[in-house]
Amino acid sequence: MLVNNINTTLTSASYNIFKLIPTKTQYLISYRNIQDVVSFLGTRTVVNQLARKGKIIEMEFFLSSDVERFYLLDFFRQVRGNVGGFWLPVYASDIRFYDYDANNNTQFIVYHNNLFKSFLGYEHLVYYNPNDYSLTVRKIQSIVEIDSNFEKVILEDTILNLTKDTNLHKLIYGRFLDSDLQIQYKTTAQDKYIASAVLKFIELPEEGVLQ
Amino acid sequence: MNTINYLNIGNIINYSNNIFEFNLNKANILNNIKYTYNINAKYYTIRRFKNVAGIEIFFEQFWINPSYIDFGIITKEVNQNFILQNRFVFFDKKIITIDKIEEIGVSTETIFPNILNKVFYPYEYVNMTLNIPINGDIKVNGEFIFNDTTQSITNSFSYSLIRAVIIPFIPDEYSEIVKYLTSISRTRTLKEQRRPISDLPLLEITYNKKLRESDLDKFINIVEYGQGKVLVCPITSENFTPSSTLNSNQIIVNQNLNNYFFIDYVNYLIIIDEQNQDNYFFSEITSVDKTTNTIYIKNIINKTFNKPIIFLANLFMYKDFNIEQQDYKTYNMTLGVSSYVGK
Repeated sequence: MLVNNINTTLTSASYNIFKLIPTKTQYLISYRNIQDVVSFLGTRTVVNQLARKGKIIEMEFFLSSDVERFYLLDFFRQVRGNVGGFWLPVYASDIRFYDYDANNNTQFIVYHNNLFKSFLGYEHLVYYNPNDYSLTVRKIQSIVEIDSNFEKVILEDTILNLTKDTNLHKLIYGRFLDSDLQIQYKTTAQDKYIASAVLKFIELPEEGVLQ
Repeated sequence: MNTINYLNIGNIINYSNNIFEFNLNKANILNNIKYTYNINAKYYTIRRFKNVAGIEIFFEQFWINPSYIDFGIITKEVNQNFILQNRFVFFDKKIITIDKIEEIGVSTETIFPNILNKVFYPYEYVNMTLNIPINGDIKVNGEFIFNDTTQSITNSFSYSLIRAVIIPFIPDEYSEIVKYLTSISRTRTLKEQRRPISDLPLLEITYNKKLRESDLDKFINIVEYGQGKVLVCPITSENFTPSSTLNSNQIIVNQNLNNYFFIDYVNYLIIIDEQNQDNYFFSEITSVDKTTNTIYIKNIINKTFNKPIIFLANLFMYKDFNIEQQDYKTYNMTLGVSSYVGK
């Protein structure tokens, strides 16, 4: 399935959002391998303070039409495999909306999910509306913990028309992990094939800050 | 041809009757990454002896380089260069004279007009052009006479060019891998530096097909003949149905060509009858009109189809082929091919 309309406050001239919606998303806990430096005397020095951690995320896509298949191939060509970075909505990172803040409509309260710990500071918030296949994107300023049940998300712009039990997601910056894209076709009947692709993405927090 | 690499002894692949065929180490030379050349060289040794260590040394040679080329020569006339060379170790009065020339499959006035009775002195070579017609394989047979101060030996040589093999079939299942060559390195501050190495993607396709016992021989023959050669295979994810009758050199399809990825990359097209897959038609694409969903091809379609499916096709290098028996009288065939795609 493809997102057909994006309402965003992203201001970078070159922003590029991956529009294909996965059928299955999976976090791989193996974080990006940060090099350890072994010093001259043999002491091991961990240098991973220099780079922030980026998740590896695996998603499975069913390409039910030529339009979706063409979109994926063309997107892969545009970013030249694992070279170009882009914004990726992670539909698995659930942020469950609870209520608006009565005093400020750029702030709202969500159910506690340790979001304030995993927030790297650059991510955006994404609301996918399945009725009109649209995507709303807002930049997150900060996330604070209220108590053991709720957290507060502070945005830079307003986001409206959210209802209770709406799932919100994070928009992260990343690239394809591999330089190749494999598409499996189960049948060749005209316009009736079932194609699927399993893609791995890696988060690039340092580059996301710059966007 | 960009480079011709001279050969070393360790690569002998065929040895009989004083003819040594060598396989180049750098057999696959990518020229602008559009076509894959498979270059072998052949030389004809006239005299060999063993040194004190018992190792055979060849010292009087006549080279044809390359002697065998697989190249994208399917529907075009191509001018192919090759070299004939007299390579001697010792500069003596060792002369080679071309005595006899026989051309098989060469259509027009093309080659060897100047080298009949030509005398090759040591290390002298001739760079020649072979005009390859549209249809058929080409073979050139000949004889040369080796003249020494003491003797003269007659030997024969051959030079062949073999066309790409078309494999028209509709698989049951298949997978495509689109791959970009990239380079990723890290800076001192662990930031990534990434760059594409090639603008053209590498396309790898693996076809799977269930075969009946009656189809078995056909596919084994096709793939054994195609082994090591360039194959023309359908890109089965890019298929169309015609909206008009197929009797001219233009095909109007039902699909919106803007949605098709490889149509910007490939040059060829195969029409296969779904009901009788032995009935197929192959041609080069001359142009594509995406506004009217029309594909213009070079040749006029001269076959009739009950249920035609139009596939885009490309030149692929043979990678692997496997047939295994699944159950009684049913076999599972896997064919893997790969190629850079690009016009």
